[in-house]
Amino acid sequence: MTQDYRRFLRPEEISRISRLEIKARHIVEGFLSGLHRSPYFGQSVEFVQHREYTPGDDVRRIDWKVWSKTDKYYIKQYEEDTNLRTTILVDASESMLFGSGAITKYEYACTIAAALSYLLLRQQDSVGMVVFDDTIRKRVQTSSKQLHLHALLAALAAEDPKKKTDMYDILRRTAENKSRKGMVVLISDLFADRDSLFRGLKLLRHRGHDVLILHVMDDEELDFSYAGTTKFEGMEEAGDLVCDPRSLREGYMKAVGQFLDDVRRHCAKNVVDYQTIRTSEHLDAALAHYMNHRIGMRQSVRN
Amino acid sequence: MFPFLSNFFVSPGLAVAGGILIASPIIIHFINRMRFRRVRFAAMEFLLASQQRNRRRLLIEQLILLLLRILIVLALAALIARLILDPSQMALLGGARSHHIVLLDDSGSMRDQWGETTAFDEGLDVVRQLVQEGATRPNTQEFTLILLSDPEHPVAGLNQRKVNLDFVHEVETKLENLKCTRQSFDLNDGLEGARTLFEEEKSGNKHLHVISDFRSSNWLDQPAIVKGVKDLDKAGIAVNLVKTVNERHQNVGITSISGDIHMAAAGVPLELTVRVKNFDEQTPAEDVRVAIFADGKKLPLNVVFKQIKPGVEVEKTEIVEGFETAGAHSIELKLDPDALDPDNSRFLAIDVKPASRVLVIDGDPAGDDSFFVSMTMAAYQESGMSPLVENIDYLGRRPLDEFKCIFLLNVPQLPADAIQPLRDYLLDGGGLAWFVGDTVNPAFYNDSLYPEDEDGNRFFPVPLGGGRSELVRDDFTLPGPDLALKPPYHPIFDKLISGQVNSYLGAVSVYEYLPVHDDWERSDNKRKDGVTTSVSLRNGDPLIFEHRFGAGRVMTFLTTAGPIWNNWAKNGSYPPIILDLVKYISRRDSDLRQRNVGEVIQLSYSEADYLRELDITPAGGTEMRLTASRQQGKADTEDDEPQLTATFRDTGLPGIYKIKRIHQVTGEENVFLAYNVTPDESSLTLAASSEIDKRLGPDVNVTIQDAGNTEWIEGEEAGQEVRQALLFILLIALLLEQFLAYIFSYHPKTVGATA
Repeated sequence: MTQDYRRFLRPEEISRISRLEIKARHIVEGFLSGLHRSPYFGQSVEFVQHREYTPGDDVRRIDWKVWSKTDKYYIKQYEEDTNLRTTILVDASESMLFGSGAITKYEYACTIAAALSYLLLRQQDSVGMVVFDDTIRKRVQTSSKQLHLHALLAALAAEDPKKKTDMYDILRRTAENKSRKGMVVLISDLFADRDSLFRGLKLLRHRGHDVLILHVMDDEELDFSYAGTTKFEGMEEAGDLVCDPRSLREGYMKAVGQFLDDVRRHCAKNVVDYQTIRTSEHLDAALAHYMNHRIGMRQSVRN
Repeated sequence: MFPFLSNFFVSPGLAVAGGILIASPIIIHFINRMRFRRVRFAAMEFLLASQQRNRRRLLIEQLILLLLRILIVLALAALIARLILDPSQMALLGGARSHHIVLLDDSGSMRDQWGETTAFDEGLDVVRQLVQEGATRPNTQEFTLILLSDPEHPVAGLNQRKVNLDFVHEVETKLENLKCTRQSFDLNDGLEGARTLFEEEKSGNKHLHVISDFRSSNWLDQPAIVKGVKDLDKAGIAVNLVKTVNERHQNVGITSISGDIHMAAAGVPLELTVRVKNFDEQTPAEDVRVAIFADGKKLPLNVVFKQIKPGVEVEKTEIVEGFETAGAHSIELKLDPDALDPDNSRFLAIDVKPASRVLVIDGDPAGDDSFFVSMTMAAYQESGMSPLVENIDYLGRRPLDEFKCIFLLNVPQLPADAIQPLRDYLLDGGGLAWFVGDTVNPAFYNDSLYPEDEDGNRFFPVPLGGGRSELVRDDFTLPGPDLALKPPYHPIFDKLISGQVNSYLGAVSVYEYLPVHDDWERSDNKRKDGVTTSVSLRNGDPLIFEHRFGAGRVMTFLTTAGPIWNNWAKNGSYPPIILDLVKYISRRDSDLRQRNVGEVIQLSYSEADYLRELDITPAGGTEMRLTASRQQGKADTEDDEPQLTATFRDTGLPGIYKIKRIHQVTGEENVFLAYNVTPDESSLTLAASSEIDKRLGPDVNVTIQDAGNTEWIEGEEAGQEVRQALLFILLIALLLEQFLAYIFSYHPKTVGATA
């Protein structure tokens, strides 16, 4: 068991991701104070700004030192740190078994999930995990304990992808299980019913969750550089096709492009953070790109 | 299947194999569909969508590529199997039943030699290759060989024979026995002969291969040949002209040998005139030497021409030592070897008489005229002339055939019994010289000798005007000749005028003469009665005439032969004039006619005179005996003497043919006949293919093969246009296939391209 889950968190990956700083796009509420800033101003040690008193403000927050100097009422505002509750959803459907290189999409997804879990736990954030196909195969409750990482990795290692994906059901159940607002990280190839996916995402957003999609795609799925007569045997009972892949490439690329555009457009519309990640990319590069993007979004929201 | 395909393919077997190979792209396509690699793929949704969207396009693209690849295989197969769209071009290449008649030119010009071969040998090689190629498809072709020398009869054993391997060996043997003649033939006869043979054919392809050297003299400006070829073309016969000579070769030939052979007598020098022509029309011939052989022995004399310009014929006369003995003798002239051998030699047969007898009839009993004439002949013994002076009665009493010519001097009138012998003598080619005098009866001459007989012959050329006339000279001190000689001079004067004794003629005085009748038209051109005025007097009255009587020549002098009405007999020009007159009018039947090779020797004679057996020695051969046969149902003589005829046909070689027959009385008698090649075959100037094409015109479908080119036999020529078109199609198909295959497939961008 130990060996299984450790394959998703190799020392070199740990070394790379330890330098990263993961931050939530939105400020969510939490029990523990951490590095994540809260949108609510309350009791805290980190002063943010003064604001002129208006009727209805808590008189306990009036900064009397300023009153004594300026003879005006100003209120002291503090930024309250919160603890981030993150649920990582890992797609374990049969399509995730595809991999043209040394690693399958599922292995790559697990690696991402492990890395994120490790980082979040190091920041003492709470991390939960759901491994699913057409149903939830494994669920690990949210926890911020360091030892919780073993449980997460064990959940990833135990899965053997076989079935199709029912995205709406999974996302709905995830939303129902998360009583508090938090972050949902969906790691999947999204080869599922499109409406089902979009409805699920909409539901999560409706419940106030911050959603991040890491769309894992294989190089061949994105470039489709096959040549020679090939029999493509579809996963998830998608059927077979014998063809000259070069002759179909143009249409394939168009269809894939349209799919990615649809997903990207829908995510943007619902303020869902979306990133396509190739299995050939280094994990740290993908996360760094993601983090930079999130920081930018956070600033735009705050201002 | 094969017979049908063989109409269109040189190699029908390969065509069948090619047809099977057409299926190869389809098979490869299916094999590729069966041999694929398997990939478990997740994004099938997009792949299936793409396949759904592009199904029709892909089908069309694959069909196009498949058809292109089939077309490539098809074109390759057609190229390898050598497709020929027009079955008539198949020649020996196979196909439906074809009859090939080869007309092989075996005329003298085909002896044109270069290196170790001749034009005829090259022609035989073409025939061999033709048969060998035909034998590769046994019993599908028929072959007939005819020679131009005998176009109506195919070569024995080579008439409409099926071509197979056995036949190839048989042909080889027969071709070895074929020899090129030295004769000249009409090519049109050959074409006609081939057409007649083809007329017996009802079906199948008909091919006529004319193998010749194609000289310009035969093919250019010969409407009959053009018509012959066109007729063949109209008759549906594919005419193929095959050249055997590819470049012109220089040739110099002896075209004639002549001289006063008819006057040849024992011990009398011979005057020979040799004509040599440079048949090359571009290069002059340098230092041409003609050696002379008498009875096979070379004389220490060469006739030399320093240079003969292109296309020019030159002549030279030489006096050679005569033969010591009477009888049959031969002369051979020989040139140095060149491309064409037969015309480098020329032969002459001479019947040398003991002497040239001349009958002189003098109408004057005093015999003054005959004295001068006979004395002149006798004085020049080297002339070989032997005069016999007789009176007018001699003509009716004795045979005249032995005389070379007859002089009638001052004859008042001819006796009735002399008329017919004299007529026969002249008709046979005898010569007659009239000299008038004071005894001549003009009325007899006008009534009996001047009028034409039923054959249009007349003994005397002009009507006489009555009594003699004097040629008056008012002032004798005034210079000027009495004879008004004007060029072109008559042959008996020509040599004299051009010689050193020319001045003597000016001193000839004519005092009296017999004038022609006043009503007689004096202009030869207006009169057109065959009489030529050779010399006139200074007063314009005609003096000397020439006309023909049958084959004989008649010269008439309206003045005396002796110095009575003139001073000629006392003039230095008299002897040469008399001697030349004798030579000019002498009968030439003893001058044995020169024959062309191939002419049949046919001797007819009375059995009463000769034995039936005779010996003949052909040129370059050995003596053989012939037995003359009696002519059936024919008796030439009134006494019904049986006539014998001896025929000898093998006269293809030039040279002297010696005939020895036995006379019942005089014993052995030799006759020499000279056979020579005709100069028609000497010109080796070739007709260019373009010129032949031009003459034949655009409507005639005739192929012309250059010498040495045998590709047409192997079928390389046939279907060449189709092959070029196929090559072009193949190239286009290959390029198109590559282009479409590139267009229809995905190609990842290179690093440079993305940058």
